Amino acid sequence: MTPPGTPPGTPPGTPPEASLSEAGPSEAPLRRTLPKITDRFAATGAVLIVVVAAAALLAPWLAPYPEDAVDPVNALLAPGAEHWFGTDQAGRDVLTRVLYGGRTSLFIAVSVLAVSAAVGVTLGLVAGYAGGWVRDVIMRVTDVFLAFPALLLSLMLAMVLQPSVTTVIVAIAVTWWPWYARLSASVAASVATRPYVDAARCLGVPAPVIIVRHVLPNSITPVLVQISLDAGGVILTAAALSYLGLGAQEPTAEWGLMVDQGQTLFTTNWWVVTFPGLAILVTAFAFNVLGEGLRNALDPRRVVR
Amino acid sequence: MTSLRAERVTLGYGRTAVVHDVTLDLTEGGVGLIGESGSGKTTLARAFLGLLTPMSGNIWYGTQDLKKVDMRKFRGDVQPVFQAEALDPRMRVGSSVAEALPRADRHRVPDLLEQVGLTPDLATRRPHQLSGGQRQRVVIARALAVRPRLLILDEPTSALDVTVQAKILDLLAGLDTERLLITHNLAIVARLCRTSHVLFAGRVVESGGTADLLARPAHPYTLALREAVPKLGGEPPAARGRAEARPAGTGCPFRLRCPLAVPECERAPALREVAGRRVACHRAEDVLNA
Amino acid sequence: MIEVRDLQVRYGTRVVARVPELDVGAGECVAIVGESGSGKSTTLLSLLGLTEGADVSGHVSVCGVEVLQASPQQLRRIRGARVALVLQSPQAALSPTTRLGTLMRRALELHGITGPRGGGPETGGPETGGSAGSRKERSWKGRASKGGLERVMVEAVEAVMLDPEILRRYPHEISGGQAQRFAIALAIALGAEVILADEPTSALDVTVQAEVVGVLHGLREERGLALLIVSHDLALVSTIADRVLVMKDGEVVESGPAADVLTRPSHPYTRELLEALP
Repeated sequence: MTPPGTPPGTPPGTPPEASLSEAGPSEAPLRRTLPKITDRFAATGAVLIVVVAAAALLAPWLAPYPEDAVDPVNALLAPGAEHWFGTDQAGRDVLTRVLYGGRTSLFIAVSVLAVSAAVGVTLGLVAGYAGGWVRDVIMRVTDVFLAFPALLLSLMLAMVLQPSVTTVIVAIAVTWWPWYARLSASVAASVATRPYVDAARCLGVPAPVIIVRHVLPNSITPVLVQISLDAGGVILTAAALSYLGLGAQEPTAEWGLMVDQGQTLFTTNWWVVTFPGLAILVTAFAFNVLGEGLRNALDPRRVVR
Repeated sequence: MTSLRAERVTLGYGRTAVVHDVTLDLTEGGVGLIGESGSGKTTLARAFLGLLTPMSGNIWYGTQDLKKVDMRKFRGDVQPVFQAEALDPRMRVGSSVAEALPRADRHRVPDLLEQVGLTPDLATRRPHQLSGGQRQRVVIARALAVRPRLLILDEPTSALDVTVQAKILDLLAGLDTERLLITHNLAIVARLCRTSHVLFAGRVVESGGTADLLARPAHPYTLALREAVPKLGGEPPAARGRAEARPAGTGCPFRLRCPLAVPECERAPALREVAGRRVACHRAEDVLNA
Repeated sequence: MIEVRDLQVRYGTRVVARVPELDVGAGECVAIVGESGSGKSTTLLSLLGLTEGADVSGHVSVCGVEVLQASPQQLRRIRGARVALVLQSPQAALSPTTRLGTLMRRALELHGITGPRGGGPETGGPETGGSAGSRKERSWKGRASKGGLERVMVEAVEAVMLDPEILRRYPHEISGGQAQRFAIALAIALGAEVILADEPTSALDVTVQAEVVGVLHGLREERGLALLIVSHDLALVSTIADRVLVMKDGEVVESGPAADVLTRPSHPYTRELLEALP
């Protein structure tokens, strides 16, 4: 059989039979067209994220005013030529605060995801590869963490610790890693049964090396997709904690905190709360779109089903 | 000869046994393990490779129990050749072969590839850029890297096109290692193994010289296996609707499919000597004379 | 039943299959033999218009429908109901949470079948009864004899030598050979006149393979089904095919009556295939 899905630009020397047979012949044509569409989907998300991240990183150069330039005389100005997004109750420029706030929010998101992924994936891979009692122990611990409602646990932790950006990161990461542990454990368990893992074991390759060299690269894809899908969630959770006064503190600019402080003014001075709210929305949306697109691009069969 | 021997091993996953009380000697001249999917042949292979610990019984490596053996030495002696999918899809095939070698010996990769009939420049390819036959050759090259004395071949050609299969068999037949060949394909056993064991539902039902066994089966299952292989221009097969029947409880596991079954088959037959081989069938004599 | 002239399937500029002539009549069995990449499966799929993204040219007529000119509705009507496709691993196509009986009943209802018919469907064979099944049977469990629909289902399942009890099972509870035979039973229940089989037994053990091939052969003898089998196994198809097409790199290198091709191969590739047989 000839693979209908082989694009014209197949690398030279690729034997025709190499790429087919696993893919059911009927879905091959779909696989050919779908990634293009979904790639565009993912690209939209990626572009949005790059824009948001660049805006946040370049805040000191982009922002029209210093981060905490208080100007009570010009408090609560409506959006206009001087202040595109208006000013808040302390007379600070909302555009400036949104830009700087992005740094805090993205920093929180990246930190939470990095910490939870590092912890979760490490434990998950070990559990999935080792199996037996090792897996049982790790998974039971994971289950205990999963049993708590995530937001509630974060809230409790944030209350016990001093309210700060670090607190938010710790509180969310604690509730976030078990998901990655569980996901990577199940993927790793199936990768661990592949013949190439057995072959490596028969060559006497030590278990840690097998995990890093074979199991990790072959099971990381779904975790990466999950991480990008989760980024929006982390930003929202961080915003919620800050909104409840348990996270970033004045005068740090943070989107959730800004929404919190602006909420009473919503009916009279809508811009104070709307712009940071929009920033949260756009960023969360962008990450979700990217994750969804990544998932489709990396595993087109999921769409076909 | 690297002596590897299973003595009354029962193997399984969790609490479910899939191989029951099997005694098997890996002797010279190649040993074949014939069975269908679900017969437990791959499980047995994993036990021989030290990847699975028996629930009961022992695997002997020379005079030592495999559980207590210096695995470093064992790994240098016994290597598997799995199906072509046994290569890490994300790794260049050269690195897959190099993984078998100590750092100082990595320069041997091109030689090893040539030894299995591949050009060394393929080393930089990834598995999906190779054909099925080339992948299988890489798998063999990796196994040969440690200069093993025994290869455990698990369906080494079943995923390949027939013309490719023939070439891989030539390659395997030319290697100067001992081999345990695990397959459902009677034809390739005849080519590579002097002795064969037929496995059914996790039990050895017939053992003997391969040629003898295929020419005059003494177990009805061996006979059924042989008859089921399509012959060029042969008669169309007749469907009897029983090919997958597995009875519960004790007794001969083949009795529901057996054309010769008698009430006696409700009692499990033990392996016994019949006409120079070992057969687990109450009616082995009748099968031989049929 | 199947008539193909000058079929050519291309992806971009690459021709993946070219078949000058292929005919399968009622009660005939034709086999396309070749190795990976020979274009044999592509040929099969093009008969049902399933080669999306490909440029297909030529003349393809299946059950009187001009496939290359047919509207999607026309194609949908012949797919399944009159022409059944049997793939290598049918289990993947069965919804894991649905009992096989429910699955089969849904397929029948979808094609508007409510009771038994005689002879070939739509060709107006001898009409026998079949009105009893018009009411929907909610439960076919108990004794699967009430209602015309049940009769069709049980009869189809028995035709492939399966115990009707299998209708109560879930897809994961059956073996590969049983799944393959169930797929064939489904085709029979739907009244298929043509079965297209793509490597129907290469995932099965030899003894099970013999059974599935035996079932296919029996159906063609008893019911006059037209059979087109794609396989890499020359020995296997030689036992049931009337005619054989040997394909290599998208081209038909040899075709003719099975006996001729096998005993007097004219193309070196066919000889190579024959010699490679163990």
